[in-house]
Amino acid sequence: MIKFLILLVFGLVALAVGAWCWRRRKCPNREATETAVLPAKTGETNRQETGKTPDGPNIVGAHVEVVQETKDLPDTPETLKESPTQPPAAPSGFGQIQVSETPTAVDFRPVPEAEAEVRPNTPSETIEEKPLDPPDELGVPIAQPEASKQSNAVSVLQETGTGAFAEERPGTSTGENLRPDAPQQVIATPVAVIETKAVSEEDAPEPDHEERESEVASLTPRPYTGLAPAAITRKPRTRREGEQRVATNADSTLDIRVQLAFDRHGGVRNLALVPCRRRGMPNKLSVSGTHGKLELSEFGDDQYESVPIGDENKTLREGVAWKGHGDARGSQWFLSGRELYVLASGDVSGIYPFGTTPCLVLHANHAVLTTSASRAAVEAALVSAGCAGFAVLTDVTPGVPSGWCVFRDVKPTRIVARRDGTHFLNPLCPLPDVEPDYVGGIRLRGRLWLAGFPPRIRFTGMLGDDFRVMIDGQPACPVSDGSYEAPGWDGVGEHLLSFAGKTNSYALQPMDESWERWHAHDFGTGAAICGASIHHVAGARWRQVRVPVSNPVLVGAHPGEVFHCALRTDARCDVLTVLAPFDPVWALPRDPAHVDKRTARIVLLHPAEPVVSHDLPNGKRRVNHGMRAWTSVINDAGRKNLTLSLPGDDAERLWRRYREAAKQLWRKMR
Amino acid sequence: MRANDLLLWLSARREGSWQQFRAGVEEICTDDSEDASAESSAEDVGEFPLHQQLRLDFERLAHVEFFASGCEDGWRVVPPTLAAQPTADGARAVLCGARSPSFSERMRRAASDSVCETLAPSGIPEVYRFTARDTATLAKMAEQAGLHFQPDAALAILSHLPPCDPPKATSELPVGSDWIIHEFDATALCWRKTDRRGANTARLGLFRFMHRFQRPTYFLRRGSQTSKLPRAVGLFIVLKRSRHRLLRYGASAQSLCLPAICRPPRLMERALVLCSGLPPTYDPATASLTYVDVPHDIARLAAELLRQPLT
Repeated sequence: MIKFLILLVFGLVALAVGAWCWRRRKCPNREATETAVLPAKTGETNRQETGKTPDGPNIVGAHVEVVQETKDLPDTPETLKESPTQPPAAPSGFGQIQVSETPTAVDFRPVPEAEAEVRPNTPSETIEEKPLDPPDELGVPIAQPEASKQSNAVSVLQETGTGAFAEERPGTSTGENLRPDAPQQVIATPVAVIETKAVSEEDAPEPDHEERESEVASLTPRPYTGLAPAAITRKPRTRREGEQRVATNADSTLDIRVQLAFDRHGGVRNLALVPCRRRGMPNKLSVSGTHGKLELSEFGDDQYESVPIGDENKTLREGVAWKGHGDARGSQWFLSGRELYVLASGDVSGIYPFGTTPCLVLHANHAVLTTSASRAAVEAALVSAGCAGFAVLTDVTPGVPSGWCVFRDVKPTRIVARRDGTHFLNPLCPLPDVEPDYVGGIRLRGRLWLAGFPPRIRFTGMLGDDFRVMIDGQPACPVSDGSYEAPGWDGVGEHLLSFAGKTNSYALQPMDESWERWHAHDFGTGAAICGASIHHVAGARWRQVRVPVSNPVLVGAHPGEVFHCALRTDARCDVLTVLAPFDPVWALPRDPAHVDKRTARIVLLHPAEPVVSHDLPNGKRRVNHGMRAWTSVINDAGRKNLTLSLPGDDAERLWRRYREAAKQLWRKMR
Repeated sequence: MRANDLLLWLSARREGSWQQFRAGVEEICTDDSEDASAESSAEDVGEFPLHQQLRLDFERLAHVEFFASGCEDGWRVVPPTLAAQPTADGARAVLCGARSPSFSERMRRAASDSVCETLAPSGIPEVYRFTARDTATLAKMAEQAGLHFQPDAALAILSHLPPCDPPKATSELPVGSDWIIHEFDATALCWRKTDRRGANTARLGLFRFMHRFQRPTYFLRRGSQTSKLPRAVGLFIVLKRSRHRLLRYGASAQSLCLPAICRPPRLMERALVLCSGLPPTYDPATASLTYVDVPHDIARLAAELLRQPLT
């Protein structure tokens, strides 16, 4: 009977468990949200629960994620596991996995151990470039039908700091179709970090030459659209406007500007490409495109280092297109090919000495780069813009690209109405906009200058007869060089510039003179070199002394002040400088008692009387080791009757006093 | 070119990256006018661009440290220091390091007991030199002006520099096929193009590896060992074996002369430059550099560290 009851209880329990499992299979996501991150164990694969719509994508948190499988896995009860502890769901996809309310099947796909460390990047089979998914409201790619995504499955497990592994799931397609502005789906818990990251080109193996060529071929420079009259309100200036451009969208298009420098022989010294940069972009990045693969490094807040132009004629005519890799994937740089480039001086363009600007700026200094075929038209346009005295460098001039010519010393003085449409000469029509032009001075950053070295304040644009300038509320007057000054305009602090209904500000800052010394070069000798000075690495105030290498024992005025210099043995020399922890008075030979008295000398370094205290320890008291060394070395030199290197009455008397002091001290210490 | 302004800019900024230095050079030292770039002769001879030339000069003159400890990725300005050097008739000091607009005035006020001369060589900041009867006078002047004082500056630097000996650490030659490789010809004192095989089989040689626009790296092959090392160190290791007598000392003018391609290591060059406060003069006819006002003991110690005889 008892056995029967026990069996009955077990049967009921088994039935209940079976019913629960059945219900679970029928409706796995009965709760609104739940986490399913398993506790991570070293060497054990974490499994991630994602919601998968019956006919569509899996949904993770706020993001839609595509599970890319080569084949569907059966939803067997063995594959279902739940976390014993479920942390509260985070509002976003970051921090925890969230499962959508949509009834989904739970997908646990253990990743084989062999794939755990590094899944080989095999783009040819598993990674295909797909058209960009249309973004949802959050800017995240909406999933494509599962069938079209099956070949994109790449999972990578990364070991986290806690020893756990995180699974990396592909969320988007690769290459230029990847939208880097879509936040990476990082799902982290105290026990495991599950990272969902798109397969980027950085992760992918380096494409061979043919692949790269085909990749580059797909990225073509944008055509130059020219300047239309409607663009007359556009500010030509790209720098010193004060506002910070923030890269909110990494999937961005940036300009490539042209930099030009003249040499002193009248030719063109440098013609380069300057890729623009936005705040938040990496300091270093790699791009590929028209010039092959390039590494760009930060040059300033708004630009990367310039890149020499290879085939100048072709590059200028056809343009340049680069595509970012790694952290800059999705970013693209374009220089549209054209037959006319307007370059303004660095104060205006922000690129020194000349950088491209959209159009001529009134009263600013420019260079114009144009094709030889357009030379006559450009020359006429410049004359109509009031430019006089400009010079033309043809392609026989060193540095000027073949088939091109350069106009230099171009200073427009008249505004010119633009032609209809996007006529290629419209960039040579200066705008009437009045803008301040801070020229020269020592600019520390932005619109901050070093006090004592303020900029000259000039203006570009159509000033007019009634043009008035106020600096800090006081009327400013033009001076001989065309700049404006007012009382106190160059004082320390911020200054407000008012002109033509606009305001602008600049500031002057005094120099902070608290420079500090540091260990710039340390070769392990105990001293560090910083600029022209030497200092001890311990930081204490050690004194530098110049000693002959024959006299490496330094003796100070106080008993106990004995220092044996560690002279170098790798170079023969007569004299060296060393650092001593006290002011040395005498430099003695290494072993005064056993030197050749015919050649050995006592060197007086810095005359100072011996300082012997009257309450010295005597008899059998504890004797300072340094005192014993001090008395010993002086007595040895004295007994040997060593002579001074520079004999003199004062020096000899001083040496006798030291000998006397050493003798007295020696007697007391016996 | 406005090297004085650049030094003021560096002093105000204190430290920064290499890119910031380049941007500063472009903004301050290069001008859109033709005449302004006339002084940048190094730019035109093609060896160095202007920013490299300025960097080396500022480093030699002990104004700024580049890529040193504490400024590994860029530069840092050195605190103002009066670097003194004993002379036959007293002592002479050169002003090194950071400067401020009020600095020159303060220095002139403090230099009541010494003679102040201002030199304006092209391409570098003004050189302030002070001459006094003894070093103590200069030390007092530095104290009044609030500067660091460095007696025996040249000897002090040389005393703490390692000699040009082969390094113990070994490394591997860079892999890849894009490298442009040159070997230093110690007989003709020039670089000759070679290939990887030549570098791998050399018993003793200095090799320069260049890759596109990157800075070259130098490798010393000695026996079966390869070591990466600074250019000048490797150069003098190779030259020691070739038994060239490169260093010539003129006692009357206290000048130290050597081929321009065999520039000493930078800190050693700094010590030699601090003797006069002026960078070496380049003679295009003989392609040699001459450091002036170098005392004989300094020249001897420098030659010893370069492992070269002094003739």
